[in-house]
Amino acid sequence: MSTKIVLLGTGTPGPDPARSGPATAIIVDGTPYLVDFGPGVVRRAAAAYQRGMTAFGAGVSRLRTVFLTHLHADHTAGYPDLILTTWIMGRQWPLEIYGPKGIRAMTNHVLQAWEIDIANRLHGMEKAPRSGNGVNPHEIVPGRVYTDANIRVTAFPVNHGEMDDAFGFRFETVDKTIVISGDTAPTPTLVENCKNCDVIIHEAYSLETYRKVSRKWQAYRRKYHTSSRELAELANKVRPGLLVLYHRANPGGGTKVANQEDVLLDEIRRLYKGDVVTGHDLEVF
Amino acid sequence: MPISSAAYDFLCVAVTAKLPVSTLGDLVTYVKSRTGELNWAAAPGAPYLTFLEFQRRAGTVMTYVPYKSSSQALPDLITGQIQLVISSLASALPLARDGQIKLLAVTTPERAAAAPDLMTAIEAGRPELTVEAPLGFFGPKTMPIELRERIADDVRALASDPAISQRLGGLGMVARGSTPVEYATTLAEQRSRWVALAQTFGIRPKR
Repeated sequence: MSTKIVLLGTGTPGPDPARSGPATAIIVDGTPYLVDFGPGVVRRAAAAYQRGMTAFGAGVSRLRTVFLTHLHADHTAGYPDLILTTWIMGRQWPLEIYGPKGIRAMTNHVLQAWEIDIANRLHGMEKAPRSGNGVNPHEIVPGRVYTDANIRVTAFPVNHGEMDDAFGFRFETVDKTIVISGDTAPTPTLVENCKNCDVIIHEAYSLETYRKVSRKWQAYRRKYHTSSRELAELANKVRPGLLVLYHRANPGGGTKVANQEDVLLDEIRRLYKGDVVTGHDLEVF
Repeated sequence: MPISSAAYDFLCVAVTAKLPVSTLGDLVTYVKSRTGELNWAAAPGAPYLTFLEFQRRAGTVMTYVPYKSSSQALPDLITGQIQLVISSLASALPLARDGQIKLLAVTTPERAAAAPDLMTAIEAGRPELTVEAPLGFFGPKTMPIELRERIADDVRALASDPAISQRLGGLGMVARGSTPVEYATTLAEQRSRWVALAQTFGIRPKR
């Protein structure tokens, strides 16, 4: 059995063309599992398919199981695309979505918003299969949320400011244990759930960029996100096989300011001597 | 079109005998305090990209020395002109047995029968150094799938023959057949990994 991680989106709300909205795929023996569906998710998965990750299927039509960390737009703006494009391109079964409270309502709203398109494809010349446009949302609570022959998935609460229902996920397969932080400020639950893991995929902002943003945004970062120093503290406690940085905050000002990935990496490496890399879209681990 | 894998080649991480390291962990610690001072060589392609990724994750910097093939780098490894080579196990093992170089790990997921005491990169906590080199059979694009499957059946039967396994084992390889679909999937997934790494390291095809 082999487990691969494919970074489909490593970005933030900023519309950086090089970094799609947060989305990560875990592929276990040819079965893809998706975590988050930020803008661009389906096209990034199609790009991975074209590069050889055949597990996604042509037209990304082989996705079935999806996990969502929280309901912020940068993690969910690809939802209509995920539901509709994969159906149009041949998905034959409903998507199973495991996410926070509110995912059911969001699903219903998306399907309602596109009801004219769906009706046309079902009843027009296309005669698309009804089975493929279904979505089964599962509103989760902390604990074991999914198990099959390939993977065991545990959701744990994280600390994303006033976003009450925000989760991180721990994925356990035969050959890898992977933790995805979601968006979070430091929290003891991450320390507990990152123990003995091979890979942590974690968000972070650099202290250099922190100093360049306004006080309001400094307070926001402290409450909602994790600094390089805080992430290094976590990594020193749990010693993962590999720490992958994603959802790196820009130094304020959106896309006008160059993103300094080396600054963040250097800040962490000064405090943490284990393996750490900056994740980029379409990298495979 | 892919027909079947036939044999997997074993690669290994070889260092000059004078280098005071005996594991990949030692190597990282040693190199970290000597940025750019040590030289390494690997064949272009997968071995080269894999060792770049190893350095990226470990945060180490070594100086790459291009050779036409890794076997040409081995004499310089013996003399200590370069300090590390990603080499085929078959070429490096006799030199290691003579004490002229040291081997730190094999890059395959499983240990090599020819060197059972040599740990894998995965066992050493360095899965990124895993390189599978699936040598195999291909046919023209027009070859029907039925014919490819028939040939693949024959290759699988041969690969499970103990005499063939022993002969390939002696060359530092392991015999392993597959179906056409399995071989195509393996190659496609490898391509995906190499493309992503090439992009990460800014490597572009020459036009």
